[in-house]
Amino acid sequence: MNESIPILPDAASTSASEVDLLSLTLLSITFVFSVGIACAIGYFALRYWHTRDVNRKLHESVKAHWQIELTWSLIPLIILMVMFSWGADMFVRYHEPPDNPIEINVVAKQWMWKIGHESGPREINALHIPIGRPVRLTMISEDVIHSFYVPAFRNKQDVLPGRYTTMWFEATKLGTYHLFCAEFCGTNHSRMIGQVIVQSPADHAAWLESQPVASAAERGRRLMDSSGCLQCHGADGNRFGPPLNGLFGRQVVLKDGSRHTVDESYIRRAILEPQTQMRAGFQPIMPSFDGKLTPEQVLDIMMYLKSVADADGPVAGPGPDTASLLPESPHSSSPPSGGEDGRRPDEGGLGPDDSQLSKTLTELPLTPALSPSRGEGANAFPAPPATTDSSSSGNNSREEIK
Amino acid sequence: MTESSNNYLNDGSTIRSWLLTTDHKRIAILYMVSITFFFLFGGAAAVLIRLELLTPEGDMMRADTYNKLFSLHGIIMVFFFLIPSIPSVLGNFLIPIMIGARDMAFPKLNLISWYIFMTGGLFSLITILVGGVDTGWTFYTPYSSTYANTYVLLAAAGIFIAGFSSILTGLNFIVTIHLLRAPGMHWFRLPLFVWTHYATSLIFVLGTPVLAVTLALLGVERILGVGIFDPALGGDPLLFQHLFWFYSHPAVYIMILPGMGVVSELMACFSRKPIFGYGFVAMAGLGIAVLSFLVWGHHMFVSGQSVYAGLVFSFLSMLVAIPSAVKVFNWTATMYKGTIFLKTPMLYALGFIGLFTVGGLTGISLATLPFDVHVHDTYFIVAHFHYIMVGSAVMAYLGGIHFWWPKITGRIYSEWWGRVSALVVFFGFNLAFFPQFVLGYLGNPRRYHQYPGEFQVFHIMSSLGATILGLGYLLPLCYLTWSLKYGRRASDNPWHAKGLEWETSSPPPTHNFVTTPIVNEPPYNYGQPHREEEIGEGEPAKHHVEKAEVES
Amino acid sequence: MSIQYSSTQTVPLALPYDNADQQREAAVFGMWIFLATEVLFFGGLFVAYIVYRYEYPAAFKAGSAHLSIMSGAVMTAVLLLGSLLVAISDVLIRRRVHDSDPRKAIVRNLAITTFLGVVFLSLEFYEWGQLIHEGFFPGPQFNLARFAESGAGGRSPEMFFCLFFFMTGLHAFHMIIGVALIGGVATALYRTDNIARHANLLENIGLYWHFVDIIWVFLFPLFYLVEA
Repeated sequence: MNESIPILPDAASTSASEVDLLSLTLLSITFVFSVGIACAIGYFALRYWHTRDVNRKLHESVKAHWQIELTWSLIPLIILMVMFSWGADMFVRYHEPPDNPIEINVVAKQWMWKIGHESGPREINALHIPIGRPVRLTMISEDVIHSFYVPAFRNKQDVLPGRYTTMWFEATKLGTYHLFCAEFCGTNHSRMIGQVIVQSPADHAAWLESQPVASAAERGRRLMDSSGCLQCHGADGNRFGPPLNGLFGRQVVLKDGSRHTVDESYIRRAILEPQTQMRAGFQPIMPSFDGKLTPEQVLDIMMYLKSVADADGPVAGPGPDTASLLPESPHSSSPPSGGEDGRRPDEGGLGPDDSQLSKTLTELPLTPALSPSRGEGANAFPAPPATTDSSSSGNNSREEIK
Repeated sequence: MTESSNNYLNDGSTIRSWLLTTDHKRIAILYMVSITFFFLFGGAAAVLIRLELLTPEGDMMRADTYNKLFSLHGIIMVFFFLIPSIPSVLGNFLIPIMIGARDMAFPKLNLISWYIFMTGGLFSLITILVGGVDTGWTFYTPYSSTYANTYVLLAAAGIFIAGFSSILTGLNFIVTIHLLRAPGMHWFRLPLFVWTHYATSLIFVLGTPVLAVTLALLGVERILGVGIFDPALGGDPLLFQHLFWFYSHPAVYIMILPGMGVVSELMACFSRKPIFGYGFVAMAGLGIAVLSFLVWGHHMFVSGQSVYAGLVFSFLSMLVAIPSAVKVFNWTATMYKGTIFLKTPMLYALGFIGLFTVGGLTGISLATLPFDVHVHDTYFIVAHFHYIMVGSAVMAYLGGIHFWWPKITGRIYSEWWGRVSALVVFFGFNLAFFPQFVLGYLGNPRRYHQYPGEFQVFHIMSSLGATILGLGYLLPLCYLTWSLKYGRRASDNPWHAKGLEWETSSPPPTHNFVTTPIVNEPPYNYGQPHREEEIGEGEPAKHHVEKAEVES
Repeated sequence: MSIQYSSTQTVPLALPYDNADQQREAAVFGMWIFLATEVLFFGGLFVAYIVYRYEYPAAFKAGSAHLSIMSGAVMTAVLLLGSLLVAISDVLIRRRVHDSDPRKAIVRNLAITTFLGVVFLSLEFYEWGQLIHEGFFPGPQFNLARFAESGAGGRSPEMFFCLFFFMTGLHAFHMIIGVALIGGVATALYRTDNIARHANLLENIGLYWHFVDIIWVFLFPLFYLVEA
């Protein structure tokens, strides 16, 4: 094949070769039937041309229509069912990623891709991944529907506003591949393109090292701190919110009696529309952060919560003074689901900011750097909110939280 | 030379007699002229698009302009050309005659349908004039409901209004076919053209209202700023897609079923044989219409709908291929031991069969889930649907226009020009759209104003093919129009075809028949095929056929 | 082209038809198909309703609480009564009883139905006015604060009222046409001596009226009786 005229894109993922095989089969079926019909038509046109004197008497058996019709209905049906089954099997098999994928967050907006690695680095319109490891993308849009498409991986997924969608792939070939937006999204739809760069593990590690940012989980924790989340969901004194350790992935009970698994959509809803999802045994006093956190920030918090999904105690995980978070006495990791007043024994500080814990809810400070999530100038990732002297306006006295 | 003075064309020559006619044949002509006009608009948009795509950069026009062009191309071609084409032109003209009736069941409603269609078309033209719409013909939310600052409401209103024309046409067809058949015209003596239009009408009346209400909801969202489909306000963008595709998938069968009916007529006549498996072909058409309502989710495999939905819709989409395959096999078998003539209409019919097979089988490929995940929203999709809508539906329309041209106009067109044009169209079409299959698999997304340079060679091929195709379309426009004044006058039955329409004069009298026909033979009663010299009057007839005197 | 009259009927026969029965059959069939399209038209809205009711049950409960069940019940009764009268009229008009002229009864029934239709619309417009006054019309001015305690998230109560106003509005639009049609038939029957001329018309308009009624019979519980 002429190198300068491509016919097939690179096959660079674990599923690509199987998709290509499936495609080749489908193409062959198309070819066989099309050419077959064309040949039959051509042959009949020649043989039975109107000026030709040939035997045109139809044999009686040919008039037995229903057997013929049945045959040429059943044979295509069988072929179709085979193709359906193969495709369906592949579809189901490739739906869930293997264990321990690398987690990547994607926020799409008109007209760029904002990508965040769980270990911290952020990229615009580019995604560096290591070869040979599954990568899972959790994606959301800030505005309209987009679609994350990597032809070399034979994979795409629409990216919706208001809802997470996921896709995963595992790269099998080093190189740089096209990333396209594949759902029409406005003026610069065709410019919403980028690259997926597949690196060797060593190169990838080096690349990560060279990106000087904190991990997404770290960012998420700092954000929860400066947004005041930890004042209700944290340790030390007044606690009104469910503890965050061991929360992600658990089953919880809501006030209306329904049970839910704490997954990404649950967390997102809990942050943006808490009043629709009140936990049993807790007071319904959490405010909504809708419009106060960008999608990237929500995803960072998600990363943090995932990082403490297996931890003990009310609050733990990355952050300054981690050692001071170790509980003085062992506690069970699953908080009681009913009748709890949300209080926990003091387990030491959360860090330098913990001294300004007990504020009334109405004074919950929010970092000014936070910008509304929808289309109002939220461009590149906001800088992680400075935590040391961030939100602390007002007094430091411990007041009762009403 | 005396022209038969008592046909529908002569029966009144004022503008009023045309614009206020209730004669289904005149209404068909009104539609024919109007959709040709819309076709030119949609075609012009296509020309500009393909010109821009000659180069990878978006250097001919701004991105917004390009987006508006492909949106308008889709809207005009789908709603104002393809959907009305065969049903409103050929269906309106032929159905009453084919069943032996004097007119449609509701002649005045028929005329109103045309005015409604024109009103919708007017809205679309105004949309173009004031600045266009750029959402694509699919109007996905929340782009169309909240973000687009183009004339979404105007465009949606035009489609909404034109939809009622479809609904009323379908209603008219169903009642006509049920109740106005001539004595002896039992259901299984009906031409397959009538059967497929019946099936199409079922889709017209049941599917179009859902599109109407979906567009209405979109309008409400845009006007009031509420969040029916916008997630930021609590809505669900996938609900829009489900509602939209619930109509728009059956709509594509509206665009192909009438063409299948035309092809059945052509295959029978130009093989001098009844359609093989007539009953099965008739039932297959109904089967396609019913199944078409069950597969809409195959447009949404990567939309975020559940895995289960994907599996169900993939399975059902496979099923809908079976009746289509049955038709293709039966048409091919019709040629077996027939007496074959490759006249212009037959060339179009054979082109249809070949291109529909390719288009349909690529549809099967798309129904296979992992394949669609890769090529959804790429040029593969564009190629697939153009193979069906242009390679098949438009070719069937042209084939039908040529076949019934003597009946409709009383004139014979030039057979030589007809065949040349058919070949130009076939060649141009394949050059235009086959490379797009490759483009799609390579990953070139659709609706892209600019594209990576390595795709250019295919775009150049495609644009060249589109140019040739456009020329191929202009040719019939010329020679058919020419024949109106200079073409030979046609006899009642220049093709020596079977069917009630060929037993009345060319053109027919205003009331179609002098006396109500009585039917006592099966359809396509060509008798035993045998060697034949010639049919048609494009060249000197070898055996002369009397031009029938028409009694007034 | 002359108008042909069948010997047993004084209805003018349109061109395509061979006899009056065929014409009548076509008209009725056509109306049934039209009603089928209307079912699909409203059907799309019912699908949207189902989706959002499943998604936002609290909002639907809260929104429904602001609708007057009494008013809705009266409207339902009014429509059902009207349909009954239309059905009776339809039977009467086809009766061939020599010693009684049902014309007066039919016209009276249809006039009452028209009046009942107007009552329905008045109640509806009044209720809409009340709701708009309380700030429940969807749009930027929607009074979300009233739903702060309801547990309904975001703008979901607005969704309820969006569907409410759209669906009852669409229904009212069909009602207005229906009232006009019934009134028109009543007038035509009042003015004519030969009521049989309009039998087909009444049958078809009756079908339309019953359909509009049935749509309301679904709208009432779906909007007014959520967790009543």
